[in-house]
Amino acid sequence: MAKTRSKFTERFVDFLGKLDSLDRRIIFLIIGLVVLFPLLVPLGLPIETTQLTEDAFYALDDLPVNAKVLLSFEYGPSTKPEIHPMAISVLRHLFSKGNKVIVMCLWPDGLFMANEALDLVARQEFRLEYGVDYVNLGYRPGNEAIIKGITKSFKANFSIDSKGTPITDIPIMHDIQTARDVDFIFSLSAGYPGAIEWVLYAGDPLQVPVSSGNTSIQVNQLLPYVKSGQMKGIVAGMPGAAEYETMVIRKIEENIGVVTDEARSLLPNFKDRRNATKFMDAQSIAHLMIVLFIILGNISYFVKRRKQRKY
Amino acid sequence: MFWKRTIPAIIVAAVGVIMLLSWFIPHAPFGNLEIHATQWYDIIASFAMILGALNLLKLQGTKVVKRQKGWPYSLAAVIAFFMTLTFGFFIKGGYYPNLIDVGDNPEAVYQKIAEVIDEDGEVTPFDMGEARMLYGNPGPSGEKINLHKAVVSKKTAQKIVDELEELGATATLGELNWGSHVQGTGTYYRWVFYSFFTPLSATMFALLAFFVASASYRAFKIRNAEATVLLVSGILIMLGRVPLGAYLTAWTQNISWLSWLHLPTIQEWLYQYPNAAGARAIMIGIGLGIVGTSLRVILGIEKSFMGGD
Amino acid sequence: MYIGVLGAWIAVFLTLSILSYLYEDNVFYKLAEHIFVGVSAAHWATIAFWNQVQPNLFGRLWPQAEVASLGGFQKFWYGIYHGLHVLFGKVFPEQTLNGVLYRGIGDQPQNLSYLIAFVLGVFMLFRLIPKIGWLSRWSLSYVIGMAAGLRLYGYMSSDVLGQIYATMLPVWTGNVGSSINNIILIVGVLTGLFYFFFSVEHKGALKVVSRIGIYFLMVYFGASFGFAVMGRISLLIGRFNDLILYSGKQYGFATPILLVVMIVVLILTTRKNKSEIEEV
Repeated sequence: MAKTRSKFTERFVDFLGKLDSLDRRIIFLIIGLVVLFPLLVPLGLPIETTQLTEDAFYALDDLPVNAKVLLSFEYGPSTKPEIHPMAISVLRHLFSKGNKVIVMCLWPDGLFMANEALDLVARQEFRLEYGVDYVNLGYRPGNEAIIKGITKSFKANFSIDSKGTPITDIPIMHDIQTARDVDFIFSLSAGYPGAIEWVLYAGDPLQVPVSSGNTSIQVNQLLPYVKSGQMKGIVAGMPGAAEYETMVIRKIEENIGVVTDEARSLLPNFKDRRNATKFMDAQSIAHLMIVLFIILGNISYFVKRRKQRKY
Repeated sequence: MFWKRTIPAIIVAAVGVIMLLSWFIPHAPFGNLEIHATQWYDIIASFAMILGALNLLKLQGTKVVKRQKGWPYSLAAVIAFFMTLTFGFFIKGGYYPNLIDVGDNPEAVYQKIAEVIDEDGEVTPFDMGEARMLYGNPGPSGEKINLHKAVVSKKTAQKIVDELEELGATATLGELNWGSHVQGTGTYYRWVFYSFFTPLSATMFALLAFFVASASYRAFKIRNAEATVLLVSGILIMLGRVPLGAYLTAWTQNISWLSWLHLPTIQEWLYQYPNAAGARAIMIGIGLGIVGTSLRVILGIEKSFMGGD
Repeated sequence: MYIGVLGAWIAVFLTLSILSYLYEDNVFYKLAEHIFVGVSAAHWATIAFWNQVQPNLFGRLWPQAEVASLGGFQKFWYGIYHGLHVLFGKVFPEQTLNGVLYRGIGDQPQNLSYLIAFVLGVFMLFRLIPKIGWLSRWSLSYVIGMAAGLRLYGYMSSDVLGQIYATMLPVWTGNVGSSINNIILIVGVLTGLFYFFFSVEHKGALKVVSRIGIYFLMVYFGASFGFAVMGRISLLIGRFNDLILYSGKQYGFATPILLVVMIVVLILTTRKNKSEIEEV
């Protein structure tokens, strides 16, 4: 019996040692399945909010009614799964408390994302009036030069909006001459130009509060700005988007702060369309799988090293 | 030498100094100079993008013409390039029925609109509700209503206008201008963006998820103390930031002296303090590097951007 | 965004083609990769032209004006515009409103100094012609000078001074927990910075300082890795979600059909390649 067990143990240890050279296509297949399964069969794991997302949320929530927020779209289809849910949640949050939104884009693809988000939230859900409650100024190439430019003059950089209307004819822009005249800047950013440029060229020089929703990859680079108060919180990746969705729904459900009647009537809609939240199950399982891969890889490494030392 | 190296050096120094001074002197002439200088930058940046496109065409086109290795793929690149350009500059689409008044038979008109905007081949009460909501009251500013169809040719749009008029509505044929067609709905360009560009760029990035998993398995080994710290930090962030981490350690919240073991709590502390310290050190270092390099460029010490003679 | 059945099939085909690289480099992947290159180059150029060059450059050289009111130099200048309109009517539109003929783009004030920007832009394009390619250095110099001037102040103020100021934290706050956290921040920043200071040899006590710095940097890199994994998985989830959406009846079961076809083709191709190698 002891001999059989030790033979089995030996075979198991051999197998662990060989795992080191596992064909990577097997790993790809496992990852694919592990991401796909929770999308088809949701687990419904509850979302817990974190401090940095709460800071960003309350920074916007504390804005007075009729405050004007500059929302900048700096992401494209490649990072849409992470940032688009944030864009939609932030728009829902702002419109549900009567704020006005000025949209602009520093990425060309951001324009398409902005149109989609505004079409859904401003037009279909809240039925707001273009030009009065919100405006889409469109895209301008020039990266940080545009940000620097609007600190001096909006009109010089955005003479017309995305529909070709001169901004002098747009009511929401009547008392906005420079970026200093907005109450908050929120950047939905996936890279360069993005949140960093907003802090460097607008937030810090003009002392306009800045926050941002970013891809997970960029978040760690921005943390020093958040810790130093140069940014008011940050919505970090898809988990951050899921947290923000949860906070918007909680705000409307529990009637915290200013909540319009329109927002209350749209609450079932918001609950149904929580894109980031429904993806978090897949995100969780995938992360667990990768951690298990790391642990397995290390076990295999140690077994192999021990064997080599024996001989 | 003068035209190829000295003039560029003068341009760099002059423009750099003007931009620097404009941070400190907002008044004329620096204030106005700066506004236009940034506009010129935007325009030149746009030409750089056009240069990139032409350069690509030159490279891929040469491969096709000379029948070099892989030329069929280059042909596909060239065809895709011209297809996108065609819809960007020659064939626009972007025609739509402009609904001015629903007339005396609104329900029939909404039914027609619901058929047009419906996306799944079946007119539901939701589609009818949307039609009533969006098209029942054309905007007070006279905002033109653009129907949500993937590609709208002039012929299709005119047909819808005629059908709406037959039902008693007042409608005219609208058209997006050249320029706004690249961002408007109902244009061929937008169709290309969503059918070609979006899936390609998104999937290219998504592919990295698999390689990250494979790399984690193969390369992430605990060889020394530093690697261990890196590994533990990565694992805590990965598990602590997702709902699963909170779910697995939810039991610790019921025991007060164990509550610090809650994964999101540990992760949050690690993220906001030791990690933030490292991030700040890196940021200061990079910031100093950028300041140094910018000064070198403006003072003409750094000339590598000019290339060879 | 509704793209029709044809658009869905194209999207699914391109997505699966890129993902097929996970099996091995193959025809589908190479094709999709080259299509991506062609489409994105044209896309960026088109967007840049219609959003910047046409309204901002041509719009400042020729803002919209009533033709009848033009005289002197403006008459000649807008005559050039008319010639451009004949050649490229879409880029240089003319319109008649209430019987009045207008030429020009937008309502920006005219500023002929933008001819310099136009010339610099054209110089940028000369990079394609080897003999006069050196003229693009002037345009490049302008761009680099602008970027250097913009960034020098910005990064010094926000990244260097701003972060140093934020690191000046009280060592004792009255609360043990937050005091320890502040000390961790201060020690971490100083030791992390010191690790990159090579003007002094890291030995003895300085070596200890440097090693503490490394540990803080390792925590940062580990966290960055964690976030990178998070980001990539999020994008993969997005793609899979789209593939699930396009597998429905209204899109003609695009995903399952194309998936099966591509798997069969890849298997057959792999077998064929294997047998060819064995023959050799």
